[in-house]
Amino acid sequence: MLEFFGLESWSTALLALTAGTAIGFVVGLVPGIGGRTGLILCLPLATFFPPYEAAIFLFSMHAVVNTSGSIPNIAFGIPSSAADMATIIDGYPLAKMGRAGEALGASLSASAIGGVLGALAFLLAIPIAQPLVTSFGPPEFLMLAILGIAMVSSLSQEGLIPGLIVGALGVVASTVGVDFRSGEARFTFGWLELWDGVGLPAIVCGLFVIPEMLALKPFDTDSQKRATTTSIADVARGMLVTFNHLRVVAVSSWYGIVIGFMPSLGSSISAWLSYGYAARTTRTEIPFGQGAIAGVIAPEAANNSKEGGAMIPTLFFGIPGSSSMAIMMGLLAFVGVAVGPNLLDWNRDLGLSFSLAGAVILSNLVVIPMFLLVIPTLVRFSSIRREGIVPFAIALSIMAALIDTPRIITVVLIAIFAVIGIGMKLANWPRAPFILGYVIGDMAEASWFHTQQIYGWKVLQRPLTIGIALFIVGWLIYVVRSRPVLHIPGPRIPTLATSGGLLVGFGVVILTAFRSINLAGRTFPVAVSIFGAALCALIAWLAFRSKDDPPVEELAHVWIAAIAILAIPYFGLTVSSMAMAVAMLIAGGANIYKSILAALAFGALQFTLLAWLFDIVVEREIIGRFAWRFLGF
Amino acid sequence: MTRAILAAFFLLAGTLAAGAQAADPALAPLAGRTIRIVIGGGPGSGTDGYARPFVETLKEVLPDTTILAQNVDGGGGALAYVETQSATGAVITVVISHSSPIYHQMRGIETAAFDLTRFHWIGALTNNQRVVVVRSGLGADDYADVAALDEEMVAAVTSATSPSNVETTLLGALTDLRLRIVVDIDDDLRSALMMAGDVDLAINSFYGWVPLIDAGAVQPILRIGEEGYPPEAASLPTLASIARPGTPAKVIEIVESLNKLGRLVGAAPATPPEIVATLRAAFAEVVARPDFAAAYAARDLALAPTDGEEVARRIAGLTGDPQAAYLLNAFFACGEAEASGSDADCNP
Repeated sequence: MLEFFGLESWSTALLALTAGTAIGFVVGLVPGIGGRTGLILCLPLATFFPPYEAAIFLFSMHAVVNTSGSIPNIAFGIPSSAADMATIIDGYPLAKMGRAGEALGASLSASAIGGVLGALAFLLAIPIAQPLVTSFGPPEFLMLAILGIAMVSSLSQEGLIPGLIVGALGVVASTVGVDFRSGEARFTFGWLELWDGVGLPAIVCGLFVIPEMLALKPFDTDSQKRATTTSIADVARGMLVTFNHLRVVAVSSWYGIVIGFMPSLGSSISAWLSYGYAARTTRTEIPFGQGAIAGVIAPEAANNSKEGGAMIPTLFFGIPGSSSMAIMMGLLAFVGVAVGPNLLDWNRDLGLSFSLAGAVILSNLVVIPMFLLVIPTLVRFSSIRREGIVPFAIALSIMAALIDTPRIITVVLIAIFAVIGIGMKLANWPRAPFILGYVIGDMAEASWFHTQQIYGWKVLQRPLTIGIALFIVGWLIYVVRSRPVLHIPGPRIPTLATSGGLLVGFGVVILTAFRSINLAGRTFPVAVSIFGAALCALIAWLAFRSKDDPPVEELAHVWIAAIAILAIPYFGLTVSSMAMAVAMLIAGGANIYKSILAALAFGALQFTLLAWLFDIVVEREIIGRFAWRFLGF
Repeated sequence: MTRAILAAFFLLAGTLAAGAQAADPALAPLAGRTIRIVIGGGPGSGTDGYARPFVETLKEVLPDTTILAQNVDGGGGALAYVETQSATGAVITVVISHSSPIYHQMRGIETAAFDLTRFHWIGALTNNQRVVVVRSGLGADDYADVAALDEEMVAAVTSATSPSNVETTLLGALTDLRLRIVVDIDDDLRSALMMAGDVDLAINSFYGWVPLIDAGAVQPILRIGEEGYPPEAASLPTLASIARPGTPAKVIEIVESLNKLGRLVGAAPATPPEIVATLRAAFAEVVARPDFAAAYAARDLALAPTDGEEVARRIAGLTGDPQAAYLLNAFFACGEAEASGSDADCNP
């Protein structure tokens, strides 16, 4: 038996599984690490194991990163990726209601079920691996992109027109960078750093985290008390709630598996498609976007199941199904495991396929007691006075963005998107469609191009493409018939300011495109911008004529956050974060000495993480330009 | 005051380090200094995979030198060169990056905001080992079979500015293959499309193809260069051997040079000559170490080093020679014209 699985001993395999799961759990808790960086950090530990056990260690670690990653998402509203944002939309409002334990429980069981289903799909794929991998191509990607655009309406409870505008903005943002088809730079304005596009963590930080944190809406005392007393029973109740939404879990897992085995598709797409599916098909007491539990379940199930899907092309053909799997392939080579069709062969390494699927299944189960053990303690932190969390949550989110791209452009993007995000927040516009537009924009443009170039009219001979197209047509008819379209969701002045600002923004895009980009490169962004600009003009006109004018939400500490962000290039991340923390804590009424002490402790922790874990202290934006010069770089 | 204390500390550390490294006089100029190694790719990227073992072994070779590694990703490797070119401080700045920016500079692409001839080349860690493969369902076993096909073949390349686009376009210009080039298909999608039968031909490093060759999904038919290939690819014909008669030798030389220079190691233009010489000595010591070779072998990476003087000579011949850039661009334009269906005569 051991020989079939290629293992040296059961005990070593069990140790690898447990250690991998425990480390993956911790990695997921720290914002900014994520699966990819976690894998790189864990490589030295993997070398302590024999090759196949090392593979088990790496897969176990990677399988549970998303599971514990939902804890900072739900409890503190801190995302690290586009997929995280799908969980936060409903998870964080639940935490603010004092139902963090329930949301985390639901996320835990959805993640576990999704992970197990993904691993089972991997095993079931063994006899049909090749046709499975080759059945989806650019025409199907294009249809999925259009389906994603149609989903914008599901994410726009506050209003369809603002949702479409925000989605269009996300699509335009996805076109920033080199147009791979022409080799031309689009909308980079001379910044080499923008050649690879706009970094998503910076967008998420600016558009979501900063506006949410600055919106001063203290928890009500009852919620705070409930959160403080969150118990394992609350988490268990949440776990059981997932079983009331088994259809959502199954369909979301299916999305995850399918998107997972499609090479070159961003994995966050599955989380958003699942969220969109849940939002349009599930009836809930609390509306989506305000704390619907199914809104937590769907993306979490998809997030974990996609790993099983991504394992199919990665392990059987050496074609990475995701960016994490690309790194995983390199690490497997390093520990001495060769991927390829040998993992499909009964006489060679088929046993390893079973071992790895087993590792993913077991790690998704082993993580449950770990989760239950720490949740009551961790959730208690979410009930700390809001003023006590705000500076640290903002600093952690900026840190995650700078870890992703440690360049000044990140700081600039955070500042720009924070302004846009605050405008949208005050106007009560949905912001989630931006992420959906961003993740599918590039896919839509590239797939359209590839479909034309490779297939031409032969695309009409692909039944899968035609099937998805018919589904989309049906869905659009349903949306147009069932939703009020001309609705202004927020107060007049912020609506006018936001739509006016974005109208100017779309105008700048159109002018820049005509001045400096060739016809092939500008067609897509210009078309989307014209659409967005027209809708901005429409909503501005509607707001101007509207008689409803609800009160404008209040924000706090805006100037402190603005000054701290602008100070980062000069004084570095850690010094600026500490200064922001002290200023916000004192402005929030905290004791001055305690504030300084808390800021120093946070600064020390942040610097230690950057220096020892991420190894990115040698960066201007981390230590600041003054220190950079002083040290002789 | 703080600065004075720090200066005294570094002076003391430098003195101690100089004493400790006196045993190896060739490396003594680096004792007590700080080297910043700019890696032209993100953590976990291909370039990072080549760079990290080098950095770790360099730390062993230079135990009294502070070595800091920094990932600078962006612009297809260009950002790392820009960052290094502008380094003028007391810290020694060294870049490790792939060779795409050579193509960028030769083709005058916007990202080439640097001049590679100004860098002090320390060496190259590997060569690119580029091979041409076709999908197995094409029914062709070798280059002769492929060349005999009547149909136009769909060739996938990663981007308009990538080496694979240049190589594939030149392949069309220098041979009788009829290619329709589709850009913006990344490596993973390309592999899936080859398995599905939607893409016929592509170029990548030999090691990048191994899983698909093992799966029987693709068949190697040609290698771009002469040197540095693993035994499995040694029997493949070279581009030089199948190029159309009359192809200028200089063009083949350019393509082979580009193939040979993979994962370049270069010091900033402001680096003093004695430091450059010491870095070259350290590079030679690193690549000669058995543990370094073992680290590369463990990662399935090909170690095929080229010394700094040779790299400098080749880069000067590529980016510093206007005729080389002219020929590359002329044949590229011709290959593009052929790929788009024009009846071009590729003999500029």
